[in-house]
Amino acid sequence: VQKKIYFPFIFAVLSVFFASGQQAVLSGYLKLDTGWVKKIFICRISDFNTMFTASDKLIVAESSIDSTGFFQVQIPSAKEEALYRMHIIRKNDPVSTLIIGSEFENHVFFIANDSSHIYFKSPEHSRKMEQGNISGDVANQELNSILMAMHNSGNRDSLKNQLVATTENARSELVGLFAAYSSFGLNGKQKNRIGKALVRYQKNNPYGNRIFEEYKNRGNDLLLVIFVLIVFPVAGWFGYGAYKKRRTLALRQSLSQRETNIARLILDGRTNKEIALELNIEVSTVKTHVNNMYAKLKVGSRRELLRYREIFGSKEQQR
Amino acid sequence: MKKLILSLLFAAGIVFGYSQEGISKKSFQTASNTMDISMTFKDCDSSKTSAFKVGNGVERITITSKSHLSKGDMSFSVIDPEGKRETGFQIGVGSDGKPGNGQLTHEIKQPISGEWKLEIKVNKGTGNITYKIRY
Repeated sequence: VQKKIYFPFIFAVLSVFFASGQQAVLSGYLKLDTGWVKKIFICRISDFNTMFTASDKLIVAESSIDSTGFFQVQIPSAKEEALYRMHIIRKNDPVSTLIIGSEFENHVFFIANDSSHIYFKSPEHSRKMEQGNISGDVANQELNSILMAMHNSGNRDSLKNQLVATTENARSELVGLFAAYSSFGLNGKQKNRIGKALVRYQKNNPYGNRIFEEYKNRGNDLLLVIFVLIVFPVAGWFGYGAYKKRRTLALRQSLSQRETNIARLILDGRTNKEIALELNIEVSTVKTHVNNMYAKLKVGSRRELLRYREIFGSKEQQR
Repeated sequence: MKKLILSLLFAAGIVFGYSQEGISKKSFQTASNTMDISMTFKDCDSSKTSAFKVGNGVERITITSKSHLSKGDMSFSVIDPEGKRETGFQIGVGSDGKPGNGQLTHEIKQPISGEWKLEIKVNKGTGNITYKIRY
């Protein structure tokens, strides 16, 4: 009975022990000539900005390459995907030596977490360090695809589209963020697509810090545009209203009492003769007042005077 | 006879003119600009940006650079007219790290025309850098 109780307990403890000790493994074949140190070095790249940084502080593991070209190295890793760089060095070079381009290119990138097993195999055991030599899981296939496209692409538009599409569709979050990070010269539509695609990524992913910040600011920019689009027309409308009121007041003040009364009667539809009878003045005097009033209001006819009806109030107000 | 000599001279003139045109075109196509710079620095803080203009029809830009740093940090970046960091490297030694080397060979085919930038930033760095840009 005691054995039955202890067995699951021991099994659980051993499981936790082995699980906590899991590390990513990189193994492969690399045939080096005598000019090279028979060792590989693994750097952990914690930020896309440091992908092409040569520093011994980034090195987290190293391994010798045996006489057949075989190597295997365990890499300190976590549950979350991280970016790594494997490199080799020539004799007499410092361990932190980065050679980019040329036949001496000395590094490749890969993605790993604590359950990854990554393979490196150069064709026919040659020394060539090419991104396509890395294989393993989907994340590394996606990473290879995008790095090779960036390396080879002569067509910038097609590369831009590929980076946007990878941000949207990558199965590996790290690759998606890398695509967003590497995107350049995008138009508004492409930027919006990336902004939308970033919603599915973890905001606390350290690789995305700069990208999330950039697209957050972009969101703020959008709010600013919306704000401006709403505030300016509304402010303009109110401003025009205030201007119109002030102008009306100024015009009203420029007219004499007699001119105002005559204008109201004209707006009521009276003729000059009727106005002269009502105000008990000569028709010629009415005409003089009308001409003066037209000049002040800058109108040339009774019909145009209708535009200024509001200056003289409604019919009810007149009475 | 006079007419024949004149015709021959005229034809020779045309042929000579064409051949001259060919030579000048060829020399135009092969004409290239080169920047060849070497810098040494000691405990230096520096940030330098130089620009170079690439016109339409330039077939390629070739960039080579070598740098050694025994102390501090430095970065070398080439940025295209759209603001994309085309290539570059950093060396991070800090105050207590081991020396580092960076080496770059990069070719850009049919580069976009405009103002390209070259940025070199050195932070408390001791070392050297050489670079050559041809376009």
